[in-house]
Amino acid sequence: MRVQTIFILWLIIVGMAPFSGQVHAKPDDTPLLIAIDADFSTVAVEGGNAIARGVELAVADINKAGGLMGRQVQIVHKDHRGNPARGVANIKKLAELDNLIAVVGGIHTPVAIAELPYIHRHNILYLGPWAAGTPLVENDFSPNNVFRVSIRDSEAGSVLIKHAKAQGYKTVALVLERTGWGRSNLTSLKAAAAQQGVNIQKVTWINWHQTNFSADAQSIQQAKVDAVILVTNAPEGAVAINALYQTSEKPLPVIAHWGIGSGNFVKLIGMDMLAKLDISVIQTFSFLYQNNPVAAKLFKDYQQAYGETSKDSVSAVVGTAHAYDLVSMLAIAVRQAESIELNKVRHALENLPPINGAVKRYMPAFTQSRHDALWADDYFMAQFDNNGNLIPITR
Amino acid sequence: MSARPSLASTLQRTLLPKLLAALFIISLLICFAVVYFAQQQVSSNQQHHVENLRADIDFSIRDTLLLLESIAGNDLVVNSFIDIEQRDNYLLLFFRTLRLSRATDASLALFDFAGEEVISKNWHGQLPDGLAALWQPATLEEGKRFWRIHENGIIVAVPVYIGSSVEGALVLYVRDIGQLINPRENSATQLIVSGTNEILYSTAPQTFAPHTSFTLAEYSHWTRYARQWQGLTLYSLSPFTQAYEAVLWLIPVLLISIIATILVSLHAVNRAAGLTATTLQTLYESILASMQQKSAARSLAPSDEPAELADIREAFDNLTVNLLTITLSNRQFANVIDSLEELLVVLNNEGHVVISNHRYERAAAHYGLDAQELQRIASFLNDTGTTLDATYTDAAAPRQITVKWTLLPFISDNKEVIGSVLVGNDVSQQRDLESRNRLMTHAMESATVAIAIADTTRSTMPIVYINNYFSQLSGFSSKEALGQPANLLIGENTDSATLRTIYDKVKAGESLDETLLLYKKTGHVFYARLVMTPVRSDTKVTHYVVFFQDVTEQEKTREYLEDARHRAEESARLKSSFLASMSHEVRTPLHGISGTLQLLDETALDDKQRRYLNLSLQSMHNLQHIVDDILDFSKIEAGQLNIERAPFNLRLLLETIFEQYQTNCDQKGIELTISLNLGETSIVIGDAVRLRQILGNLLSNAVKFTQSGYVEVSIALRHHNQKWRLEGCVKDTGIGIAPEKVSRIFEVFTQEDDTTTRRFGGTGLGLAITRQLCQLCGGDIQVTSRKGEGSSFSFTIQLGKAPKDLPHPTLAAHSPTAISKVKNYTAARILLVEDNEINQLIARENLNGHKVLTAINGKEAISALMQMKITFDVILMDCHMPEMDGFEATRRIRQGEAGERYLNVPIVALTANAMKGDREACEAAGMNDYISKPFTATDLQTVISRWANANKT
Repeated sequence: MRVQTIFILWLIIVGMAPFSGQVHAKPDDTPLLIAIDADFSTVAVEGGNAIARGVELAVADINKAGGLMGRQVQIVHKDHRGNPARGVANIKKLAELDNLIAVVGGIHTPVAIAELPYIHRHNILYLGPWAAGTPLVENDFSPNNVFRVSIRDSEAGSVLIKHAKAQGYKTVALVLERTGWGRSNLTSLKAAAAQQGVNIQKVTWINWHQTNFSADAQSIQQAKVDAVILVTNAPEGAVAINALYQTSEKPLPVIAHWGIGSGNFVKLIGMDMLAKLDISVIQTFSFLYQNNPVAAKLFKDYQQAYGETSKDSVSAVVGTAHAYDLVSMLAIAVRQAESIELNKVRHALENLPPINGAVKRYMPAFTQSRHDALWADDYFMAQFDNNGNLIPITR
Repeated sequence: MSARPSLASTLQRTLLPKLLAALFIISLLICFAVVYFAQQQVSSNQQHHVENLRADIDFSIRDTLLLLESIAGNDLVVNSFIDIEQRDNYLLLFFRTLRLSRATDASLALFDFAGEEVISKNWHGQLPDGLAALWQPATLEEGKRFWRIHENGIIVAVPVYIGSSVEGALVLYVRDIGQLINPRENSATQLIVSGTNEILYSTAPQTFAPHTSFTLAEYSHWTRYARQWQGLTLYSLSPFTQAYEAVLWLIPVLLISIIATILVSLHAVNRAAGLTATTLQTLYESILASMQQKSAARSLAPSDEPAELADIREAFDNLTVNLLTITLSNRQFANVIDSLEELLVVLNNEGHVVISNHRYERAAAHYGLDAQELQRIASFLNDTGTTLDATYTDAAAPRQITVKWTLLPFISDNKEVIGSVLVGNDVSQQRDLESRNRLMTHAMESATVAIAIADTTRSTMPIVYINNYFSQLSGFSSKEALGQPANLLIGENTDSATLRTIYDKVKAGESLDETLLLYKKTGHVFYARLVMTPVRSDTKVTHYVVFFQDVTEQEKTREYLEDARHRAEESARLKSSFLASMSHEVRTPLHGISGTLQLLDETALDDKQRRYLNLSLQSMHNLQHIVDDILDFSKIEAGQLNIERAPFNLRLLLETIFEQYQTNCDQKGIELTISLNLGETSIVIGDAVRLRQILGNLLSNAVKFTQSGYVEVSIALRHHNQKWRLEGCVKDTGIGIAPEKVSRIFEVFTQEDDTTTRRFGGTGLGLAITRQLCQLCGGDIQVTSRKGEGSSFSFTIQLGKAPKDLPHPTLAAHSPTAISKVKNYTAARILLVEDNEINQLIARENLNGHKVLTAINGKEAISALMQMKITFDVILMDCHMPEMDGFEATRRIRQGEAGERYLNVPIVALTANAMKGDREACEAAGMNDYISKPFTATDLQTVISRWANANKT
C-alpha cells in the first residue's frame, strides 16, 4: 500500500517536472553529477565495485524517471585506492566541478576521516554507504554534510559483543587494524564489553600490509580466550586468521567486523581452510535476508545489468544495497528541495518522509541530529557457506 | 771381475750428459715465458681493479635499493599512509632508528603519491637543486627503482606500494660516493674522476686527495687503465716498478729450481743403477740358500722382482722339486694305516708289537690296553677261531667302549706266518641302538591307543605292525592282522568320500586326521578318529603309522547338533516367508477397506454418517500406519529393507514435507520454524522415501507431543568424504523425556511410559524404525531432552553427490506438481487385471472417467488383448493371481503373445507386498512402473496420466 502511495507520489513529481521546468526562464539541461570516491584498484576492489553498482542502478532508476528537475544524472568515478592522501586530492578535484550533487564514499574510514575537513571546506554533500567509523558522522562540523546508510562502529561493537555473549564466550581477544577505524572500534567494543559483562583479555594491532601475525596469534592463544573479534580489511584479516589457524589445532571462533567482506578474503584464505573455521561476520543486507519488494526489484535489476547470479553470491552486497538506498533517497530529497543547492538538499534529507528502501523501511532515515540511518537492530550476523558466500545466521 | 766397470757407473756415464743438456734448454724457455706473462698480468690486473671498483659501486647501490625496498614494504610505513592521525607516534621513532648504509651523513625522506614529504631525516638543505625532483617521474609515475650518481652525490629512490598501486616513495641521498664503497686492498690506486676532472673518490687520499683536480699528463710513466661510466671516469694507476714487483721474486726461485732438478737427476740415476745391482744380487743369494736347504719349498722372491729374473728363479725351483718327490711314498704308507677307523696292531711271533696305528695308540692310552692284554686276546682268538667282544672303561672319564676283535695271520713274502694282525672294531653305538629299540617296542605295546604300521612301498600296503590295544579294539590278534592289507577294518558303510581323501593324502605322502566308521572282527561298527603320519626314509615315504581311538560317543553328539542347526535355519526361512505373505495378506484387505471407505466418502451422506465415516477413515489411517510400522520393522529385522540410491530434488522434497506439517502446526497453534542450509545444492543421490519417513516420524512426534510453543527444524548439507552428510535437527517444546528414559527411547516398543501410550497412542516402533533407517542410510540419530521442556532429535544420513550434468528429476508420485497434472487427463482405455473383486471395484471407481475393462487373471488378460478390437493404452496388472500371475502374463505380452501392437504397451504393476525384491521382479518381467497397495485415487490417477499419454506421444 505504502509502496503504491510513494510510487504515485513519484509519478506526480516526475509528471510535474516538465511544467516546473517551463516556469524557469532558462531551462538548464547540462547533466547533474554524482561522484563515487572509493577504492577501485587496491585492497577493497569488490567493495568499491559493489558501491558503484548500487549507485549505477539507482541512477538508472532516476534517469528512467526523467532525471532530477529535468536533468539527467551522470556518475563520476574517482579511485582513492584506500589512500587518505589520494582521497583528499580527489575531494579537491571534485570541488572544482559544477553541477555536483553529492559524493558517495567508499569502504575506508581512514580515507573518509582525512577527507572530512575538505568536504566541509568546499561544502560538498558526502553520502557514506560503507565506512563505519563513528567519528565520520559524529564529527565536529556544523552543519554536518555527512549522511550514512551503513554500520556505525559504536553500534557494531554492541552487536559483536552481544553475538559473542550469545555463543557463550566470556573472554575475547581483539585484532584491530592500526588506523582510525581500528581505534574507533576499540572504543565501542570496550564500552559494549563493559556493559554486557564480557571480558576483553587481549588487544592486538595489525598494520596495513602486515604479513606476519604469528607472535600476536601465539599471545592470543596463550591468553586463553573463548573467541577473537576481528576488525580489519580483507588482506590483514586473511593474515591474522591464517596465523591463528597455524598456531592452534583447534582454531578459535572469529567474530568479524565486515571489513573482511569488502575484498577477496575468501580467495586469500582458500575454501579448505574456510571450511574448518568458525567465522561470523556482521552484515546489514543480504538478498536472502531482506525480502521486501524494493530488495526484490533491486535483485532483478542487478541481474539484468550485471548478469545472472544467485541471491547468496552477490559480491559485497551491502555496498550495493546501501549505495542504492542512499542515492534513491538523495533523489527524493533533491526533488523535495527542488534544488541542488547543498543547504536545501541537506535540509530535505533531514526531513524525508518514511521511505521503503531495499535495506529496510526508513522511519525516516535521517533527522537534523541523526545522520546515521542504520542502528544495532538493523544488523545481523552471517557465516560463510561452502561456496564462500555470506549467509545470514537464522534468528 | 774387478777390472770391469760396475753396472751403476756404466749407467751414470751414459745418461747424465744428455739429461743436463735437456734441463738447460727447458730453463731458458721458462724464463722467456715468465717475462711475457708478467706483462700480460700487470695490464689485466689494472683492468680488473677498475672492473671491481665498478662492480663494488653496483653492488653497493643494489644493496641500498634492496634495503630501501624492504623499508618501503614494511607494514608500519604502509600503515602510516592510511593512519594519518597517529602516524607521527611511531613513524618518527621508526625513522630515527633506521641506519641505512655505511654513509654517516645519509639523508632519507618518505614522500606521498603527489611527491609531498611525509617524513624526513637529515634532508633539508642537504640536496643540491638539480637532484631534488630527479627521481619523481621514474618512481611515482612509472613505479620503478631509481638511482643516479652525480658530482654532488648519489640519490636512490624506490616506490612504496599499497596493493598494486604506487602510493609514495622512499628516497635516500648520500653526498660522498666513497662512503658507499668498501675499498679492496690492492697495490694499485683507484680513482673516480668527474667530467670536470675533479677527484670524487680515491683509494690513496695521501697521493690523490679527493675534491682536487686530476691531471692525467703528470702520470704518463705510470701503468694505468681507464673506463668511462655514468659520465664519470674510473682509473686504476700504479708506478712502473711497483707493477713488476710481482715477478722479480721469480728469478731466484727459477735458479733454485734448476739446481734442484740437476741434483734430483743425479740421485735418480744413481738410485736406478743401485737398485738393479741389488736385485740381481738377491736372486743369486736366494737360489743359493734353497739349494743348501734341499727342501721342496720355493725360493723367496722379492715382491717387486722383474719378470725376467722371476723366470730364472722358477726354473731353478722346478729342478729342486723333482729331486725331492721320491722321498714321499714311504710316508704315504704310514699315513694310510693311521687313517684307518679300526684298531690295528701287528704282533710278531714273540708277541711284540711290530706296527700299530694311531687309533690303537689312542685307545691304548685311554683304556689301558697293553701288550699283555693283546697277547691274551690273540691267543683266545687263535684258540676259538671266532670274534671277541671286549668292553673297556676309560680310566679318566666315565666312558665305555665295546670292541669287537678279529685275528688275521701276518704272512711274509715267503708265505710264512711271521706273526698275527689284530683288528678291533668299535661297536659301542650299535649296542646302544639295540637297547633303545627294545624300549620303544615296549612303549608301543603297552599304549592305550591303537597303533598300526603299514608298508606303503607295496601296492596292498600290508600291515607290518600292530600293538596290543589294536588287538583289544578290533578283535584281530597280531597273527591274524600282520601281512593283511591296510583296509582290514573297512566295511561297506565306511564313508567312501573320506576314504578317497585318505587315499589321496597317503598317495601324496601327507599326514592326516579323519574320523571314520570302522568294523571290528565281530562285525560291530565303531567311529574311530585316525591320525596317520608318514615315515620317510630319505625323502621317500616307506611306511604309515596309524593311531586311532574309538570316538563313537562324540560323533553321535555332533550329528545331533548339526541336525538341530538345520531345523533352526529352516524355521528362520519359514519366518521370512510368513512375513512376505503377511505383508500381502494384510495389505490386501486393508486396501479393500480403505478403498471402499474412500468411495463411500464421495457419495451423499447425512451428517451422522459423515461423522462415522470420518471416524472409520481416521481409524483406517491409523491402522495402516501401524501395519506399515510393523512391516517396516519386520523387514529391517529380516534384513529385507532396501535403501535406494537414486537422484532426487532434496530441496523440493523438504519443502513438500514442511508444507504438510505447517498445516498440522497451524491447526494446533504451534509455530514451525525451518532453517535450511543446503548451499546451492538441490539434487542429491539417496532414498527419498526413507528420508521422508525419518523426517516425517520425527516431525509427527514433535507435533504430537507439543501442546504449545514451537517446533524448530534445521537441515544442513556438509561435505564429508566426497559425499554429502545431511545433518538434521528437530526440536520441540513438548512434554520432553525423563533423563532415565532418554537412553532407551530408540528401543523397540518403548514410549516414554505407559501413560504416554494412553495419551498419545502409537505403536512404539516409530523411533526404533527411524534409528534403523538412519543407520541403514549411513548415519545415526541422537536425542537430548528435558522433562517438561522439550526434546531435540539430531540425525545424520549419507547422501551421494549428483553428477553435475544430471537433469533435475521430478519427485514422481511424491511431488505435489505431479498430482496437479492429473486434472489434465484425457480418457484412457485401461485393461485392469485383478482377481480380487473388491480391488476391482475400487480401481474401477477410482478410474472413473476412463474406459476400464477387467480380466481376472493373466490368461484372460492375454485373450482379451488378442480378441478385443480396441487398443488399450495402459494395463494395470495385479502380481499375484491364480492360473497365471502378473509376472508371467507380462513376460508373454512382451514376447508378443498378445499381438504386435502390445509389444510395448505400458504395464503398471499393482502390488500388495512391497517386500525386498518385488520391484526388481516387476522390472525383470518387463513392467514399466508399479504402485503399492493400498493406493489412493490420486496415486492411481497420477500413474495413469503418466503412462496413458507416454505411449501416445
